[in-house]
Amino acid sequence: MTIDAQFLRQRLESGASVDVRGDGKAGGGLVLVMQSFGAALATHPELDVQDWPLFSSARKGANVRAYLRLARGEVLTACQITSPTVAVLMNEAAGEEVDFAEGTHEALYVVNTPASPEEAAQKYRLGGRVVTVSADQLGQKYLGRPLGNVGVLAALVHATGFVSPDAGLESLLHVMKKRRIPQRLVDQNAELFRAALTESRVGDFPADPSTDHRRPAAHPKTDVPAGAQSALRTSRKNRTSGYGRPGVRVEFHDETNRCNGCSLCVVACPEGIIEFTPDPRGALVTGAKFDDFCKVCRECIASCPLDLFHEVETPMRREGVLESA
Amino acid sequence: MARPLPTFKEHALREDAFVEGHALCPGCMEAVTFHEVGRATDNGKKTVLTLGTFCGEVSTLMYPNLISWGRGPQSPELFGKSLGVMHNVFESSPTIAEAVRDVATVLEGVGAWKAPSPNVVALSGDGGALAIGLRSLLHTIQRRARIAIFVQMNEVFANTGFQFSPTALPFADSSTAPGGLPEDPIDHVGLAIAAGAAFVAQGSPAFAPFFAEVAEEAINTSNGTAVVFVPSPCIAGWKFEEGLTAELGKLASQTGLFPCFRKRAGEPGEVKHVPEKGKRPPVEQYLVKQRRFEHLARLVDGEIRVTPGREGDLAKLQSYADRNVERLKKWAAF
Ligand SMILES: Cc1ncc(C[n+]2csc(CCOP(=O)(O)OP(=O)(O)O)c2C)c(N)n1
Ligand code: SF4
Ligand code: SF4
Ligand code: SF4
Repeated sequence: MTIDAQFLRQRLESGASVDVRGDGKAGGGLVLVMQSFGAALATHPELDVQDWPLFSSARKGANVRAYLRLARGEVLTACQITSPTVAVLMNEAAGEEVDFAEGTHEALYVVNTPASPEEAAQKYRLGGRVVTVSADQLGQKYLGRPLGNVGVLAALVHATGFVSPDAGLESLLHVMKKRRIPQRLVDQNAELFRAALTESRVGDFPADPSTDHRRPAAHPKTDVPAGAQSALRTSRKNRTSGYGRPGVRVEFHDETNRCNGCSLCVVACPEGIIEFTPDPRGALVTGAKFDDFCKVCRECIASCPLDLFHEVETPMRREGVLESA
Repeated sequence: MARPLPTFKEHALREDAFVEGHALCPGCMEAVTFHEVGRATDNGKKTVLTLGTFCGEVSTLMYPNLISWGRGPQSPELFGKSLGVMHNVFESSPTIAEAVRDVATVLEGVGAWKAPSPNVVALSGDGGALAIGLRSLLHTIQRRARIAIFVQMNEVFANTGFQFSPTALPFADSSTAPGGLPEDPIDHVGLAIAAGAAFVAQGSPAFAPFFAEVAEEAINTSNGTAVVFVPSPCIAGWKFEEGLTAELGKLASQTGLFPCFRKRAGEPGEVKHVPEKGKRPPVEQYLVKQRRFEHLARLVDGEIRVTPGREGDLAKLQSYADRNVERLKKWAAF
């Protein structure tokens, strides 16, 4: 079975709904993708669209999830999507914390990554059709910032084929104008959109037991699942270091015991994770709970007069991804 | 004999009541403030915190997962370490704090409360305290309720989507006032003093020594209400880069937009961390670091570029900063 535009169309024609779910980071662009995609679909005379984001009080860097259902006739179901037909991964950093393919076995996956469809399929254990687009890189090229939203939207419009790319672009422009985005940026985004259409890559992969992300059925009386919001916020690790920008971390180095106990970093860290030993001079710093809780806000770096904190690059942690949910 | 540590260093060594794992944005100043409140209240008295709905509430009390408040398991003898948290709607934190104080007073009066009188601290956003909640705040102050209130001044209703708040600087963009409004924000410090607060301060945790002294004084105020306004750079609503929270906190004072201030009723107060006119950094230095002012001025290759046609609006903001410092000096002498 190929999960292509024709498959999706047939699904709609059979009366079933197509359920799209997106995972990303607050501030990462997922909301714009889903809003513009929904707006584009709503121009279709025969489709009914329902979309709602699940991020009510998400802070910058928190995991967010968005849902979109479409069907011929009226969409009447209103609850979270637990087994999507189309799963979008807006930010790979979110993929480290939640299983964006949760509930699927064979589906259409759209992933914002420089990786090939083969690599993404292997990394996230995906069966069905995998579309990858290096949307952050496109953002860097056209906007000067690694913003992946428009690239992912283009790939999504293209891969699902419900509306023409032109219609997709038009509703994007409409949404951007509504958000009071300056014309200069709107134009750059239109160019980016067109480029992303040609640069997205497609691969089809067989579904097998390893691509199964469905959960065993919960016992209705004894298993009380965490609320959808709580599950998202706390993620697999129940730690907040995932709020930090991807690809970087903060380290503390003081091999020669230069820390003078000025205590400025201790009171500046919004997470309160600086570790120290009390001393007549103040707090003598020994490190911080970086791995679990550091959000890479750089306040310790800005506050330390001796430059003992540093931001360093780090490869994306893959082990979190491969571990099965 | 060893010299005593300055207050902020002494606080840094205390046991915090606000712990890691909260869901506030990276670099959120509200979090920095809560840590200082957590440390300053580790003073041998039971602490009761009351929170209205704001970022600092919804991101720190997320049942059933993350509760970011508390000093961990303590034995009953360490009653002074214990922490109670009450959270309720938006504008309610001063009122609930007042009720907590009343209950404590009654219990003390009948001899049922033998421990030292508790710290009662209200935490609120500026929308909660100064927009929808202004009347409850002013009445609590006017009734001389013996509580301390810390108001997080991020100039927007951040939690619900960055809507306009009456504390917003002129021309600050918000979701419901695109491009901002030309009017001066309300005089929050003046309102609190005029309502009869026993102690009124404005200060950023970026000035750690000043802020720790203010927090200590507010929490130990026993003859009425202590109100501390905390300018709170908001990375998501103001749109600035990582690592600028404290810097913006400092610039807010130095430019005269939110100067450090403290005053005890009946005594002369002080305006601090703002240089004399002429030596003050111009407001542009503060504005260009935040994209909420992008329509007025922005940095191009390290140079401040004022949007053509907006020079007058910038001058208006500068004039507000200068008038604000003079007004605070008058309140200090009130
Ligand atoms: C009585 C009541 N009205 C409205 C709301 C909705 N509400 C929740 S938080 C909020 C805005 C909070 O803004 P602010 O106090 O400035 O705090 P911030 O989120 O900026 O930290 C609003 C309007 C509410 N919770 N209760
Ligand atoms: S970057 Fe520094 S200040 Fe920020 S959370 Fe990490 S340790 Fe704390
Ligand atoms: S800021 Fe630097 S010198 Fe000061 S206590 Fe922290 S690590 Fe030590
Ligand atoms: S939105 Fe602003 S006030 Fe709210 S958590 Fe983020 S930085 Fe803090």
